[in-house]
Amino acid sequence: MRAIPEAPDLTSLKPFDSCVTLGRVVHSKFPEYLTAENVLEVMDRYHIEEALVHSQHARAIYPREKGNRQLLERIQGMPRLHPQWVLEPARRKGKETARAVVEEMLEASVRSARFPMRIAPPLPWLWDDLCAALEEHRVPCFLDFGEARPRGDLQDSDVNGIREIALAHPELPVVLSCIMGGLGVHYGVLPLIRQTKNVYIDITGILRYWRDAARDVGPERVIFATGAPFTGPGILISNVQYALDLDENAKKLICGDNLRRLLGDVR
Amino acid sequence: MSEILEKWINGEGVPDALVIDGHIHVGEWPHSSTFGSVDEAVEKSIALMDANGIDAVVAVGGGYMFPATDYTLGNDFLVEVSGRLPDRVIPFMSVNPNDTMDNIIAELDRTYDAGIRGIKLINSYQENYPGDGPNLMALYEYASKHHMLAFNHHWEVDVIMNISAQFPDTTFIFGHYNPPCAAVMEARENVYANIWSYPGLGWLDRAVRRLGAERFMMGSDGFMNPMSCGIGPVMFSPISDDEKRLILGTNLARHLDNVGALPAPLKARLSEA
Repeated sequence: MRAIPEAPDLTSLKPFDSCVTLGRVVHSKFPEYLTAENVLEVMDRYHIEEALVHSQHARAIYPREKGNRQLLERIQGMPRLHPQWVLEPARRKGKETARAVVEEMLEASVRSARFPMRIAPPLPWLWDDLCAALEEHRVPCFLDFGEARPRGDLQDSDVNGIREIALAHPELPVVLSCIMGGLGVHYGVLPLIRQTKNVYIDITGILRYWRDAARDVGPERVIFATGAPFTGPGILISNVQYALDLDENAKKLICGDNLRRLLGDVR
Repeated sequence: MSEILEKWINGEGVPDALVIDGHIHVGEWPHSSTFGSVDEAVEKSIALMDANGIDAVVAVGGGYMFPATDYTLGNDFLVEVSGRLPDRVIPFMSVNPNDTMDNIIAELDRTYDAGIRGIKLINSYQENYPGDGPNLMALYEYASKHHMLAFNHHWEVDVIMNISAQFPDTTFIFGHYNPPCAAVMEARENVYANIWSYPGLGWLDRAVRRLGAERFMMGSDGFMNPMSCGIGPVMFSPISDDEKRLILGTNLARHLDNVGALPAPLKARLSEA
C-alpha cells in the first residue's frame, strides 16, 4: 500500500518561468503556440505566477530588434510578464555600441537578455563588449543553445567558451539555457557551475540533471523554466514540486526566488 | 477546478485514483546506474513511488536490454525485485532478438514460469532488428498463445499495422506516444500507447480528443526520469477527472488483469474504479 506524498503546495512555490517564447510558430510538432492573448490563461492553468518572455521573432529571425520591440508592445500592461531581449554582439566595433544597446533595453525596463548561441557561439572575444556592458548593470544573460526547439547539445568548445566568459565577467549572471541534448547534459556543466560563482542553469528540457546541480552545488544556482510552448509545462512544474530529495526552501528558490533576486539586482 | 488536479497541486499526490506507472526501468545502465543492487532497488522504488502517490509500476529492464549484454541477467534482476515487492512491481521481461530463436523461446518459457506476463521490446536499439523479423514474429506468436502483453519502445507504422492484424487477440503498447502512432491506433483496436515523451503544449488533450482516453497509459520512463514527469501532463490536461483516472491507472490495470498480471490488492482497487 502506498504512502501519502509530502510535497509542498504548488502555489506556495510561486513559480516564475524563465523560458517562455511568445509568437506564432508554424511547425508540425507544435500546433499550439503562445501569444499575449493566451499566455496568461496557460500560466494560470499551471499556477505559474510570472514569466520571463522572449519573442519567437527575435529568437529566430532578423531583424531581432523588430521582435524585441514588438514584444514590448504586445505585453504592455501585463505585469506578470517580464520582457527579455534577444541580443547579439554589436556589428560595429567598440564598447560604446554595446553600451547604447544596454542603455536602450534598461530604459525600456528590460532586465534580462538572451544570447542565441547557435547563431553567435560563445567565443569570449566575440561577446566581450556586450558582456562588459551588461555586467556593469548586473543584467542576467541566458545563453540559449537551442535551435528551432529548446533542446541543444553543448560541445567541449562551448563549455570552454562559457567558462572564459564567466571568469572574465564575474559580476555578470550567466544562465545556461536549453542545454539538454540527446545524450543528456555535457559532462563539464556541473564542474563549471562549481568552479564559478556566476554560472546558473535553467531547467528547460532537463528532467533530472538539475536535481544533481541543486544537491551538489546548491539550489541557488538552478532556475525554473518550462520551455513553453515547445514543452508542455506539466512535465517540469510537477518535476520540481514532487522532487523527493529537495526541501521546500530549495524548491522555492528554484521555482522563482532565484530569478526574482537576479532581476532585482539589476541596476 | 478538477478535484484530482486540486489535490495534486496541494501536494497530496493522487489519493482518489489507482495509479500505475506503465514505463519504469529497473536495473543498471552503462551510462548511469539507477540502482546498483536488488536491496537498493527495493528500498528506493518504494520511496519514489510513495513520493509521487503511485500504487505500482510496470518494470522493465535497464542496461541489459542493450547490445552486447546478456538480457537474461536483466530479467533475473527484475524477477528478484518484483519477488520482494509483488504488489507494487509488475515485471515485463526483455529479449535481444539478435539471439537465437531457441534461446529467446527458452527465456520466454523461463520468465513465464516465473510469473511474468508482459514483454518489453527495444529492437530499434538492438542493432535495429526489424520489428517483424523472424525472431520477433516467433515472440509475438508466443505472446498470443500465452496471453501476454507486448510493449515496445518503437514500432515502424507499417510493421505494427501488420503484426497487430496478424495477432488481433494480443495487446500491443507503444512505449512512447507520438502523432504517427495515432493512425495505427485508429485502425487497430488492439494497439495502445504509453504517454511518455517530451512534446509541446496541448499534446495530450489533442491525443485524447482524437483517440479517446481509453487508449492511453501513464508512464514516465522512470527511474531514469522523475516519475512526476509522467503524472504532471495528465494532471494539468484539460480533460475530465474520469479520463484522468483511466490514463493514470485504470486502463493499464484492466490490461494487466486480462493477462493475469494484476496484483491482488490492485485487483480489488480496480473493481472499485
